[in-house]
Amino acid sequence: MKNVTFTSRQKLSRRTALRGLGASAALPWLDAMRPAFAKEASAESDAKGGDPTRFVSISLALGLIQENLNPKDAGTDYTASRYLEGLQDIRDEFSVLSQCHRPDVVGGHRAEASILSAAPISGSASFRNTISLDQYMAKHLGHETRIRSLVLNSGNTASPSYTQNGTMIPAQTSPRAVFEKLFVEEGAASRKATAQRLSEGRSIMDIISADAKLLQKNLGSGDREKLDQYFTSVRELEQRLEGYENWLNEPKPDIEAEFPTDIEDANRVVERHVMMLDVMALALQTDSTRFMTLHLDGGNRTINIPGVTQGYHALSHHGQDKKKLEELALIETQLVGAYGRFLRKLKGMKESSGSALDNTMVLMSSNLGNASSHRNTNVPVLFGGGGFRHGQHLALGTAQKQYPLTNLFLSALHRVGMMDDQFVSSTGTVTELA
Amino acid sequence: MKFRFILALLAAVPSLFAADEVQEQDGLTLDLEAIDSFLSANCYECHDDLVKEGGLDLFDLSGDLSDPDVLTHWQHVYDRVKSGEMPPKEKERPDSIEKLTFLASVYPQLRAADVYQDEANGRSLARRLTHKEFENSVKEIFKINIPLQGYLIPNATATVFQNDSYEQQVSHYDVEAYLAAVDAALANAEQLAFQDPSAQLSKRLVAKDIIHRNTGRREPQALGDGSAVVWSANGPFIGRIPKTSFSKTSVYRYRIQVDGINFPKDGRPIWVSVTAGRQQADAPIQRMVSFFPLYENEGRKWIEFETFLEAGERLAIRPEDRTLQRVSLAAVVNNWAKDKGVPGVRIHRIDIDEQLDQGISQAAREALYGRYLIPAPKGHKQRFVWKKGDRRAVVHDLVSRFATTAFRRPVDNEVLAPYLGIVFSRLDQDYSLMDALRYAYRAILVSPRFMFLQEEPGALDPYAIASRMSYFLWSSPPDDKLLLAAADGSLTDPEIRFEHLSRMMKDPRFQDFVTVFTDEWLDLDEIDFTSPDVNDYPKFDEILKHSMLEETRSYFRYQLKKNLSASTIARSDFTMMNERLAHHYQLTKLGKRSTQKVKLPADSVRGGFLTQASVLKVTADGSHTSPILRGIWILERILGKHVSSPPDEVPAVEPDIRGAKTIREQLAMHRDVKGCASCHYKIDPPGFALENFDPVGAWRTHYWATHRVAKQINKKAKPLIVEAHYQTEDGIPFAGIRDYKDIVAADEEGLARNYAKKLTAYATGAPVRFKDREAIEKILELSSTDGTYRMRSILENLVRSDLFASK
Repeated sequence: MKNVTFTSRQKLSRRTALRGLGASAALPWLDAMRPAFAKEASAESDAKGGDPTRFVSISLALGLIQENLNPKDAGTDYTASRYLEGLQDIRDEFSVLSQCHRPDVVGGHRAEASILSAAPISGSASFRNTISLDQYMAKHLGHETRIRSLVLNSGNTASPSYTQNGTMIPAQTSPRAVFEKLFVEEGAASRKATAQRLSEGRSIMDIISADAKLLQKNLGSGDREKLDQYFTSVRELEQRLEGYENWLNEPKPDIEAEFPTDIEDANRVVERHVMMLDVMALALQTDSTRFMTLHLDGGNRTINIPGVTQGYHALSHHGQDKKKLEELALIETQLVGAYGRFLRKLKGMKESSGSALDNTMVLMSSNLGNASSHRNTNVPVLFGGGGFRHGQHLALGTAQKQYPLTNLFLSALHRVGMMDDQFVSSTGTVTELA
Repeated sequence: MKFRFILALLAAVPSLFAADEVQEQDGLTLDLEAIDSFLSANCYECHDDLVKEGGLDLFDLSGDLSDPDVLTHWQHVYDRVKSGEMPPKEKERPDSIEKLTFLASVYPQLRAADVYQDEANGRSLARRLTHKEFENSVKEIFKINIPLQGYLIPNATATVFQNDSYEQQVSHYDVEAYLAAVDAALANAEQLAFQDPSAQLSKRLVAKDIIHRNTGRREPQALGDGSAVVWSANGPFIGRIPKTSFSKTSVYRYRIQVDGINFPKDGRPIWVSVTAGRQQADAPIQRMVSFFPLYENEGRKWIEFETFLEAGERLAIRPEDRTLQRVSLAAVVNNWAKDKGVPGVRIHRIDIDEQLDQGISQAAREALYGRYLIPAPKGHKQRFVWKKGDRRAVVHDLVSRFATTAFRRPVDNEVLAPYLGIVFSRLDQDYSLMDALRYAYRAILVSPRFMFLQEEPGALDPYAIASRMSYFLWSSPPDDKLLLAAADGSLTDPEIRFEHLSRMMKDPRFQDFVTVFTDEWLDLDEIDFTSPDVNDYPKFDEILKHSMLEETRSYFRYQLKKNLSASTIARSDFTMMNERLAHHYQLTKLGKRSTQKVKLPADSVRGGFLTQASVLKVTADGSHTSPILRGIWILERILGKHVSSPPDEVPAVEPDIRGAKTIREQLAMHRDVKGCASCHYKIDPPGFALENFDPVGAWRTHYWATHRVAKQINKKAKPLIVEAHYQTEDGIPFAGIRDYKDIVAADEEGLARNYAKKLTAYATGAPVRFKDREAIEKILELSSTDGTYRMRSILENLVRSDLFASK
């Protein structure tokens, strides 16, 4: 997907689309749907020229070598670490946070489920996850865009995005399919068929809910819980179908970009990662969605980078072996580079108030700090954009007393206008960034 | 003698206390005081709140057995003490009386807690159809033949079986995907129902059609003798044939006439693959449709197969054997491949017919509209019209029949009401009858009554048994015979179930059981998870991979067919292989055209699952093997032993790619780390025994892959030699894999027990729990003759058991 170019329409936000259709027709519905706090958010976003605030999470299942990521000195004058050297041109656009953890989230790889939910893991079989940060935002604000949220993965279908009832949302892995969903217009006949399907879909969901009551009479408590999950998902789909219907007759954004060609070779996972980030940038530029997660799972692929000879997962268990650390660093340098490339891209997109980056928070993190020994402390955290005071290395915690990353999650929530008092284990917001 | 006495006593423990069951049932709390003296004498030293050896803190562990986690912990404690694993050898151990008293005092409570849970919920929870089961069910309901799993979102579960009801989840994304799949199926059924069978698509291609007019490098080339040839060459999409595509998505039957050219000098055949896909760089996914060998002197032969083909997809036919000479695409265009002796496949004819006839069309029509549609009178613009009659009665009949099929049991009017209601309300809004019916059909197929198996705690009702049998043995809904046996209640009779089992095993659908069960039990579905490094394993190819899968699946099928001893899980004097796999096993002379039973030489390392290439591949990554991963895999999947996860913050051991130290040397150091030894003395033996097999399952004597890297660092590096000798956790020495397989095969009962447990978990959608052990032992007892545990007998006795016929 080289040479991405755009038509003259610089700003292809939802608002633009509405204007074209006559805002009076569409806005009453929007207002009716919008919860009270989103109205405040919207007042705020009107103040800054109507640009929405967005949240993007990029997560890695295997962490980053902390010595290569975290600068040795704190503050705004920090000396660039090995991984951050390549990001010095955009140094003021992000911050690096060290010595953070998600309180009570342990269990090594199992903590992947809590990357964005921060749900304490009991190590027990009955562990149930809670809603992830991105889905919490999307639940309340997602209806303002065509797509509520995008959940993506560069490798398999695992994701850190969990619904209200603790179900993992399976990630999409094909940049091509996402691109089609975002930008390829259905024909008129197909649109009509879709409209009918959606309205049928909703009546079907009604029937299922009716039947549900009857069915549940005869169930044991375990089964009832299982089926409850199904009915909740049915109801959630019903709400989404309603959302789709409202968007159906609005044209999809008109862009001029090369169609992405999926890379099937699982070993080329970094290339897949970059390609997905390119599609994500397009989604933000066109305001097709405001909440996205991109995960990179910990599969043991031998990544096609010169000098890399072993599987990614095997390398993460480096045991401080120099050769392995070096190979792993080759991979991680590219992953951090991809993050920087994404920030630059957003920075290059002009919006009414500043750049798309100013209005988009881009978090990169992991469940693991030292992957070699499955530690869930001192996890890597890069946090960019969103209009925060950046350019800092915030050494907020210490090796003994880790800083709760959930404070950053609460800051992010406040930034999108959701003024909750707490997110899971948070103790406040990250005032250093404000 | 004393040893024997203890064994006998141990075996008696369960039955001793079965009688106390009733009075213990409400006792959901473990009496910690009663066992405190045993724990302090034997356990607390390492498992207190300070040391927490292996992560187990017995001070912190409550006696509340209604908490599933607490219960599991105590059950592990019981097992470890019973097996003698704990307290460990180096510590002072309790005498046999002390130990038996302890076991006897906790057993009834641990069992009762399980029974209590069962009575409330059953062993399994509401079980959702797996993707395969969903696909088969929808296809059966509409009488269609298109794949549907592509619409669904792959499950990312960590457990062994996809049907494990405790792990299954459904998000709204999944519900949406189900709806999309149902829509695709419905559209296909409607299309088939009204299609004029005389419009069946067909093609007859001869060489000049097969050779692309402006031949590119990837299409078949003109050979000069009027035939089309595809050479053994490097590169993707070779052998693609543009004219094999259609503008209509459908199922097509193919007959292709082919022969080989430039056969290898050593008498080996040329292996040829047929793949389907768009066959171009922006849509690179191809699926294997067929593969076969061509032998010299057998002349032209016809190959037949059928496949689903999306509009615009095409076939590619090419030699696919990386052990044969291969040339570059440039060489293909310059057409010197023929004279240089490059192997090739000549394609003479391709006949293609769409799978469509009167019967297919009628079946789909009746699935949707019963017999209420009749051929239209001449001059009518539709081909079919509705019979005259009461529309509401027609709707009632059709919806009720459809729901009965979909829900796999009779439905009453209360259940039907909402589904009928939507049709009537649409009719009132002047929808056509067909359009109105579609609402009900779609709703029925996303109803939980369809999507979930309906089972109530306790003994299953006959319809629930019918579904359990059919999804277990066919991954499909029950057929008419099972439903009849459900209707007359006879399925509650174990012997009637046995009769159905025997019948069902002969049905083609039984292959789905073989495939799914081996895919999940033995992880064969992970065979594509890593691609072997082309530098280290250049001879690995798609046909070899499929041949590996065929070996394991056919082997398992043969074990059942011949009711072989469970020892064949570990060892046998035969295997199932074709020529490609035989070549991989360095047994080329034993090669056959297709996968079939072959007697192995006496000194062969093959035979049994442990040394099948498929298993060796899925337990390795693309470049290296790890005795730890393989060891754990053997313990959990074959020997049925529980392995705890490594304690947090212990560094993992991985092969030293500098090639300076063997993995054995590294592991020797690792075992010295506190907390590591207790598991590694179990994990390492099976892991080491398999060290002679590389990541694609080929025999190796040296670590060549690590050597290749090591040489880049140090030119003088010597390849490290594989050592596979070691000793089992009980101290029995073995020289290598042959010895090790003998040791494992000797514990036939253990192999049988693990197999029975895995089979039970898959059959019932829930793992085997503590209290189920007595039932498993009973199945084993019934399935053994003279100490030989037979694999089909275990399956039969499971289906006969109450365990199978209860939720």
